[in-house]
Amino acid sequence: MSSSSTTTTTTRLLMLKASDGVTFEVEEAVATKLGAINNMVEEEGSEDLICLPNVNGKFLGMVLEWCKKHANNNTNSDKGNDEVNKWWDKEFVMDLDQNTLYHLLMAADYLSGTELVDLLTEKVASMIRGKKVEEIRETFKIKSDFLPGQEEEIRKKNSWAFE
Amino acid sequence: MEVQKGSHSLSEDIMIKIMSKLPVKSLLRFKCVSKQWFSLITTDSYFITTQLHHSSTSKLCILYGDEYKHQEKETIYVDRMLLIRDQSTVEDLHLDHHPPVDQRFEIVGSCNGLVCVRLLDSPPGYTNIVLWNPATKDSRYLPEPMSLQGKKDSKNIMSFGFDHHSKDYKLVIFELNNYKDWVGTMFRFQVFRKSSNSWSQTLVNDLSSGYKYKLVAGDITDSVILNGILYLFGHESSDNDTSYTIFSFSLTNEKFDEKINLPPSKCSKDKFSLTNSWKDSLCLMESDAQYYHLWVRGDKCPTTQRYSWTKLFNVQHIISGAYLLYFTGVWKNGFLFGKYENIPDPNSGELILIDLNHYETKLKKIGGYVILFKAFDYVESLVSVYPSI
Repeated sequence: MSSSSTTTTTTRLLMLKASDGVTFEVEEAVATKLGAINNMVEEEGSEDLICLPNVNGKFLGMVLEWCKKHANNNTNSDKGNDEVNKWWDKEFVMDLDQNTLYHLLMAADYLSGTELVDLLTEKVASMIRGKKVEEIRETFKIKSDFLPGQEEEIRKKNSWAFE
Repeated sequence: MEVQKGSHSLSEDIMIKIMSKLPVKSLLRFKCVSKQWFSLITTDSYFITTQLHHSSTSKLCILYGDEYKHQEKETIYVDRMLLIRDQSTVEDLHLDHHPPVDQRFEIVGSCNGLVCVRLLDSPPGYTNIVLWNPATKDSRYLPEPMSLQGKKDSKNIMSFGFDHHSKDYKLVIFELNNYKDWVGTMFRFQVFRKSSNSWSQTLVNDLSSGYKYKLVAGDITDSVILNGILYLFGHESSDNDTSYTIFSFSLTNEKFDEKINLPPSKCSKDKFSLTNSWKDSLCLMESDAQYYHLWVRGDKCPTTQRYSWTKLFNVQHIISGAYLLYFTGVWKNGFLFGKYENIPDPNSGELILIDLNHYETKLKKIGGYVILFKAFDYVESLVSVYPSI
């Protein structure tokens, strides 16, 4: 048997450079869990250094930590994977403060990490579901643009939702 | 997109993703946040569909039943509805309709958060059909169908569901005459479409098949809609043969489709009723002298054109001589029953859930003399009772 074909099974490493210059060395299989990086790898091919001017090191690090865990869990083909991922996701978002959560969410969105965006939006929803209208405006920096009286009318129609 | 320090300017896409994961009650409150939030929550069909899709992952259930009350010398009947949110949250549900409904009603069907209700008498000047969204508490009378025959030997069957093809909600009324012993001959059916807010009718003469549809119209357990197909009981053939079959009617084509054989048992219709689905499959409850049997439809044999049925579950009507069980419907991975003491006039019981391993969970105490409930799958949504959305 000839062994002329050289199949390399070693995983390719990518360098990701955040806006503040911090770099991360990650396996390609991990980084391509992020849609944006997957696209860049496919388009640019040989380039091993990827610059991400819209994400700073702190949040890029957190996003990659999540990707690593999920990539590792998924290589073990056990049935319990979903459960492990769910448990780990819960831990991951449990103690995030609001500020970190929003920045992480923006980073995940920019990097097209669909699953992570789902996880984080779920967390935000659970945090705001019980909030008052005024608290929502404050949280998301929204100004009411209703004419005087309009808001009262909407409130009256759905008064039971304010109880 | 620039990530700015200290700002919380999440993109609109992300905001929609967050909001679609909120419960309806929060969203109704957040209509007040701004004009943009208001229009998103009330009129944006993409948002409303996304919210529905997300909300559909938690399966709720509405139970409807007659409560029999002894008052002095007479028995009166009142309607009772329960909403099952989860095993520990079962609450009474009321139809908050204006003008208030002070009469008997029954649920025709439930789909994507909309519930169709038939009032047993219509108030002067109104029809007797109400479309209701229990989560937003909106409801309205639907326009009048072409006059329904009110003779003693006439009867109709109503069913309400969603046609995935036209993305429209449809209410179908099959009208029967020569109604006797729970069976009548269909002479016309009418279809209401929510999008156009109007009715259309098809007379039996217009149907291409020469078969006269003999349909069973006993009570609300006689039809069910699953994935855009309406199922109802009827006679196998139009002559004097009285063996039973299940007819299927496509909400998309508004036409009768294949006939579906009943499970291989004694096969008297009296013993069968259609229930809400088991994991998206057609499900039948058979009741004999001793047992409830739950059947689930399997695949169709390509040669015989007959469906296989699997018996999922058996449970006795009477448990250890002490309790009576009344079948209600399917919910999640189990079956709902009313459980009453086996004595004359028990005046309180329990709603219980029995899973495939016969493990029993108590959900709620239900006061009132034996209530026979029927279960409808339900989700909370923002889908409007009005035509446009």
